Amino acid sequence: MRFRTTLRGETFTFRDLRDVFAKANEEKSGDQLAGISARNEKERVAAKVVLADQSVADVVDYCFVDDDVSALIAETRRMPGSLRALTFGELRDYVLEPNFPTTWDREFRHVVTPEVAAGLAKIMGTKDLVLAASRLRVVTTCRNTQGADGTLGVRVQPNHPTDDVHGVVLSAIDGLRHGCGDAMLGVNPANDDVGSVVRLLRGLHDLIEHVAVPTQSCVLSHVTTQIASLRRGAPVDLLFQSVAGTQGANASFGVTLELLREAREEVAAHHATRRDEFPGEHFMYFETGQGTALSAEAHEGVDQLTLEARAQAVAGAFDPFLVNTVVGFIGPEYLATARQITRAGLEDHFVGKLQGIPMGADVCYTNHVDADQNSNDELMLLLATAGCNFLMGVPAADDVMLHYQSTSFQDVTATREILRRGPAPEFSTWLESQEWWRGPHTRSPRPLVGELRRALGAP
Amino acid sequence: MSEAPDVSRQSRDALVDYVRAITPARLFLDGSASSYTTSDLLRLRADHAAARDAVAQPFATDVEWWRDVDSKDPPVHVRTLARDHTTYLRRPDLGRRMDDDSRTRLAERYAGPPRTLCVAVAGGLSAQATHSYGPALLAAISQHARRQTWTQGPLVVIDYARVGLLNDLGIVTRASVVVLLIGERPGLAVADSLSAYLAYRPRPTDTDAHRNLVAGIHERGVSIAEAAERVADLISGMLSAQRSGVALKAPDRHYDRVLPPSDLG
Repeated sequence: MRFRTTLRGETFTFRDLRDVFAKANEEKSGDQLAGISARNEKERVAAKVVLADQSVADVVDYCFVDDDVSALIAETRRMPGSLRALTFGELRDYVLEPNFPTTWDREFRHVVTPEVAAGLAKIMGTKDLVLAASRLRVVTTCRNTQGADGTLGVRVQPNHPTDDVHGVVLSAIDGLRHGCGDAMLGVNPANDDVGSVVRLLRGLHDLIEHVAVPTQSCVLSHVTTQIASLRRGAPVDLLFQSVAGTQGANASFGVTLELLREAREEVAAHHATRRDEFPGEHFMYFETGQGTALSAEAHEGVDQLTLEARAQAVAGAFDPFLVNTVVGFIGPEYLATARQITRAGLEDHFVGKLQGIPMGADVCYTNHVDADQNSNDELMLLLATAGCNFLMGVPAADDVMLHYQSTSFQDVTATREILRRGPAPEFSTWLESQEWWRGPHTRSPRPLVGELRRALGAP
Repeated sequence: MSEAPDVSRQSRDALVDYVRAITPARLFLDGSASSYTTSDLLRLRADHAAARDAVAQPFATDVEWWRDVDSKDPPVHVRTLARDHTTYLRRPDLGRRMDDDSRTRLAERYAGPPRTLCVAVAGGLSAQATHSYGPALLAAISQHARRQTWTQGPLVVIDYARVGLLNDLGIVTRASVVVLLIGERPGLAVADSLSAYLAYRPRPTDTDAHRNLVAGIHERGVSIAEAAERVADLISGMLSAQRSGVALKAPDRHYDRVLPPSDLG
């Protein structure tokens, strides 16, 4: 029997690969809610033992979910024979070898399937997740270069409860004066209305143009709202969408793969005709997070880590600039404690990087989860150590529109200092050219606020 | 939108005042670029503590909910399948189902000709919000009900409910419109925000698409009078259109929302 093992005299049997994958997962309240988790710790380890003996080829050829996401994965990712011939245990040992990154860079960057990446994470310790990911670099370019060695990007999230453009621009300026905002100035609108999104896109565009900062804007409304805004003449830099790991969950977001393809093409055409000679090679931005498929009641009996890896594979098929796992946002029914959030954040980052995805993370939590700002600090430092492409910069780490806690300008500035990382090189050059910039520790509010007046058309 | 002032010549304090007038975000904080000042850190910790305490505060089912209402009909207490706080947080599915004993008792209290309204209160993720604003909002809604000659059944008081419990409430009470007042997940700025979820003849398969919402009811948000008016408008709209949710043309799109703002579902 392929799915059986004996551990300390007790025999454990698993139904199929889906069952092995679910039970080999570290404890997550979402897998418990879905009724697919291990019943006790011995069963969890037994599942890991069985998983380690599975052949990579069998997992690649197994159908976890029969849908268009699986079809997309089959179309975009081909595992080579050299990897298919290994067991999961052997592949884990290989991935953790110091010379693996060189081969990965040359041959495996775009071939590892999400299920294989997720399976590997289940037989890795947390330190393994950090170590393996820290060696893999995924570099992308828009108006600056994200993901290069020695850098740590920051997305400024200047949200406002009523989408007041002045309020948003002010928050963005506070981020810029901390040296944050190279990954993007990305605002979540309170209102998914086209007029409101157009105003936000114009406000951020005007700020970027007036201070000539090499970064990109994004307004995270539904993809169809962004396209409608573009057609109304608004400048769209990055095109955003939340994605999930099954066709059903994507449908609950109101998107299909075809819709994403069409929207991407329309934005590419818009960039080609922009007067400001938009230089972005990569311009798609996606958000993911464990538990989204379950919350849409479209998990198909598959564990939330595997579905997260599949969501990232969807993002990967659209040549993304950045992908963000919003790890603690979803609530205690999916990730109940700081320990679960920490583990999930490091898993998400590793499985993304192994698939060649430019992963960043919103290290965050809601107030009804058993987590706090101290545990958030821990995951932030761990993810930065793991080489995460970008983190979030939210004023005082408190999102005044979405009502959750993330990381602040001060938090990410400290992280850059501790780990000796800087912003994207083009952004650093811009900072050095600013007469007010004397390094992150001598901030002045004055010069950029002068620019604010011009940006907003004040006399 | 506010006017951009000539901040370049103003003092830093003036800048901070200007910022506070247009955004609740905590901007231009003092201290080093990589740490908050002690006072900022402790203020943030205090706000978080208030939010945590609001989530943990038990829902007091013995509150005199009707104290502001001229009603001799005592409330009916019902329970969901979620029996403790931890289970409630981790198992939203259990908070959407009423237990069998509660079904029987609720059906008895709603026997006879179907009522126009069933109004229910629950702590949700901020019992403090329901305690603070529930009694006054119930009174204001009842006033509208009397004015409109809507018949109203006994108040339903529920431990550990999710918004999805509307479906069971609809089936068991047979009321035309079910209104659920429930505390929203606390944020750092507001720890006691109440919401009213409404549905027309809810049925077991109904989703958020069948529901309407008046959110943000608290001291610095939507007032009790305004919330009651919006709730009454939605009830009238539901009764005449005989539907609710996205299919209901909102009386005023500024305040009507179809999807829940949080994770109470």
